[in-house]
This record gives sequence, C-alpha cells and structure tokens, in this order.
Amino acid sequence: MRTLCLLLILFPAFAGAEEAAQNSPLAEGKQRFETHCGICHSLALPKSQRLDRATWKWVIDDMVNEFGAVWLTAEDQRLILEYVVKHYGPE
Amino acid sequence: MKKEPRKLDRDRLRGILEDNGGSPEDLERFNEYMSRRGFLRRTGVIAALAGMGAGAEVTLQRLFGQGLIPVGWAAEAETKAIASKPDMIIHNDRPVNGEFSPHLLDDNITPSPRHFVRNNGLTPQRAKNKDPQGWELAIDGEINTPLKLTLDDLKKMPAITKSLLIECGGNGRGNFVPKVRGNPWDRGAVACSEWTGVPLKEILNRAGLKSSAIYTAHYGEDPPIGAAPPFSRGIPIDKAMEEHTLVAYKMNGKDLEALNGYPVRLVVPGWIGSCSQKWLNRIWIRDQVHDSNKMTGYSYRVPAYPVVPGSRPPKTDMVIATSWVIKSLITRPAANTRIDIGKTFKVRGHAWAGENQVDSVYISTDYGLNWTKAVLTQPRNQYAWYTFETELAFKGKGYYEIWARAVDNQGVTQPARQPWNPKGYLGNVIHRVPVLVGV
Repeated sequence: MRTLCLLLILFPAFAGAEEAAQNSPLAEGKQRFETHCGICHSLALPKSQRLDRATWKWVIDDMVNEFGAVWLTAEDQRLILEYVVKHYGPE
Repeated sequence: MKKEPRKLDRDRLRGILEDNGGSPEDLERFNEYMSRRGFLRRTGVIAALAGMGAGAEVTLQRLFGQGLIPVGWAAEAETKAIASKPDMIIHNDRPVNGEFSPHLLDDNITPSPRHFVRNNGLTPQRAKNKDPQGWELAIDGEINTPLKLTLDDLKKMPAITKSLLIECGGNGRGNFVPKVRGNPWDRGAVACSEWTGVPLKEILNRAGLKSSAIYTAHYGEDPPIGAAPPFSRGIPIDKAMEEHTLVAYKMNGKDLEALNGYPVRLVVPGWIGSCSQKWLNRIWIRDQVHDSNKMTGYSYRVPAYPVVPGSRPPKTDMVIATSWVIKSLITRPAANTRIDIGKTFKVRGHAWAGENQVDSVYISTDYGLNWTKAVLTQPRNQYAWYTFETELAFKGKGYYEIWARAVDNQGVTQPARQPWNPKGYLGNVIHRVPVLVGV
C-alpha cells in the first residue's frame, strides 16, 4: 500500500485528468502510450517499430478491434497515434 | 477546486478484480505480486495502472470487465522463464519473443537453450511449474470418437524421434524495406531440434476422421495478453496426416522447455511456426478452412500477387501463408569476424526448403558476381535442415561480405532483394555476412 502511494507521488503526471489536460499533445500522447500500450504487452515492441502514419493507424485500429483494447477512447487513439508517428516513424 | 484523486490501495485493487470476475488464480497472482518487496523496481505497467489516479478505477473496471488481468503482474515470471535462454536476443519480454545470432545456430541439432521463442500469450503456469497434472489433449469436431488424452496416454502410443525445423513465419521481417509492423526478426527465429512424439495421424486415425474433415484448428493453454482472443491456427488435413507432423512431448530427449510449449506442442515442420501450436490442449477438426482471427484478414496471410512495397492490398486478395520457401543461413564465420590475409577458414551454415529438397548452396565473396558451390550434407530425415561447408581465403586486406544462396530441387533460389508483403512474412533474402580481412 505504501508503495502505491509512493507511486502516485513519483508519477505526478498520472495524478489526475485535469492536470493531464494541460500537457502538450505530444506529452499527453506519450503518457497515454506508456499507460495504455504497456498494459497488455511490453513497450519494447512498439518502440522497436519504425512505421509510417498509415501503418501506425492500422496497428492502433487492430489493437482496439482485434486485440480487445476497447477502453481506448477516440481521443486516446488520436494522441497515441500522433506520438508514435513522431517518435517511431521511418528513419 | 481540484478533486483529490482517490488513491488505489491494494485492497481496492483486489476488490475491483474480484467484483469483475477475477479467477482464484488471478487473485492469487495478484496477492503474490502485491506482497513482494522490490516492487518499485518492477514499476512498468503496475505503476501506470496505479498512477492513473482518478480514472484508474473506471479503467480497471473496464479491463477486468474484459476478462483482462493486467499482465504486468506476470512480467517478472516471464523474465524468469527467459533465464533458461541466456544468449537470446529479446525483442519483447511480454509476450516473450527472442531469437539467436546466426553463429549460435551452428549445431546440426539446435540445443534447447538456443531454440527461438515466439509467444503470442503468456507462458502458462503449468509450463513454468513443469506440472503435467490435469493436462489433457482434446480431439473433437469432424471425427467418429472424440478423444481426451493425458500425457501418459500419449506416451503409451507409438512415438517417433526426428530432427524437425520450425521457423517463425516472420523470420527475416527486419530486412523488409520499407519497414513492416511486428517483431523485427533478423534471421535467428529458426531452429532444428530433435522432437519426439506421436504422429498426429496416429491420433486422428484413432479418433476416426469423417469424410467432412478438411482442416484442423489448434488451441493451447497460454493465457492471451490483454483481451485478445485465444491464439489459434490450423492446417489442411493432408498436412495433419503427413507422417512428420508430430504431437511432441520431448525436445532433444527431455521434457519440452517451458517457453517452447511444455508439456506438449505440435510440430508442423517446414510450415510457418504458428502452425506448431505450443501448450497444445485441443485440436478441433473442422469441415471448413479454420477461420480464427489468425487465419483471416492480414494475419499469417500474404498477397496472392506481388504488391507495391508499402502498399496494402484488399483482404480478399490475401492468401494463407503455409510452407516456408528456399532459404539458407551462414553460421560460420560470425558477422564482423577479423580474418588474417591468406588464412584459410571454413564457411558453414544450414539450408532448408519448406516442402522441397535443397539441391545446392552457392557462396559469393564479390557481391554476387561469382558463385562457387559449397559441399552439401544431406539431413538425417525430411524437414531437417541441410548443412553446407566450404573453405575460403582472402588474398588482400579489406571489407568483404560472404553471401550464401541456396537452390531447391525445383530450381527456385533466394532473391538478392527481399520481395515485400504487408506483414513481413516468409523473408528469404540471401544472407550476407561481413568480415574484415587484415585490418
């Protein structure tokens, strides 16, 4: 229990939706990427990819429609897409 | 005024899990995870979940409502399982995906610690504990007599032992241009170990196939990640009845490795690895081509015709990927080896050809201008890889590449550039190994 409380202190960005909304879209995208994508698989997988926008969109659509990440809102998907396109695009 | 996020403590998390149908095993896993020390060092997912603050409870309810147990709790256990493969290049640790450098695959029979791992779900608890109690293989569908076989039942049936090649359908994906999605396998998601088991045809003959039987559908006991459906693929009845298609319970003379499918897996040699279901517990005989999500759409399917690199044809133009194609791997020397000028050294490697035979392997050291034939050793049985060997010496200093190109008995050879498909399957571009001479 103590560690969970500590986590809340150590990860202030996760503390609440209102605070989060003040982040830049890319910072917000990073946070949602790390929070949601890491729930089912390690982040090593998406971080190993170098994909164009169309392919990233395809991947995210599949996560929602094929792999059951149905809790992702349209806003989550949009912000995550912008983040991965920017950071994990073609070299 | 800002609302203070409600803190999620252990009991609240446990309550949410319980209320949303967490199984006793999930609850036990949860208790175990939450009671450990060193928790912070394993942050990752659980940190993210805990850190969701105000939204966490709703999110967790959604996740648990999906039957999703945050698999981050299993991450540490997966890491422990990986310890049995010390030299593995890990692409992903949850689910576990790892391969070996080509120079570590030199053995004719791949040792178990060097057999690649391509998991789609989590490693089952039974496999980690090496506990066969309660395991059964169910055979049902288009057969006369449904069967349920225990491990003892299987071991009483006539068994065979063969060297059989298994290769992930995505092996070589990392060499596709433009890049495609998925684990960026280089060349090491292939192995040829010695497998012992009952030919699937013996089991299907015992069950009695109906004339309506045309395809298999395989299931395993690995928990899917997230809310993904169970991973399931299948093969045509002809391949299921082929004598080398095994229900295997020994790998190199011992129990299967946890990561390679303990206690029992299918070995469908020569075909893309996903046909060789691990942690096998059910084979459903179907009266149609299996239509799971891993048999349809773009999964394990390739375009029916060559496509523009980077493009995606309609689903209706995709066909199921089946057997592997002609391929070779240089295992000696290792990439970037330094070699003395004039010194004679051995070049070695393996070649294989899916359903075909390997006819010959050629080596080039001048970017494919000239090719010389290597000595080819026949495999001990069909579907094992061939071994090739030759000797080389370089007369002058510099950077050289050793290329290998195999040819099958139909005259089909490996391409110099990788033909492209949207998910990066069946990559077989010629292998190039750089060496440095006299520098």
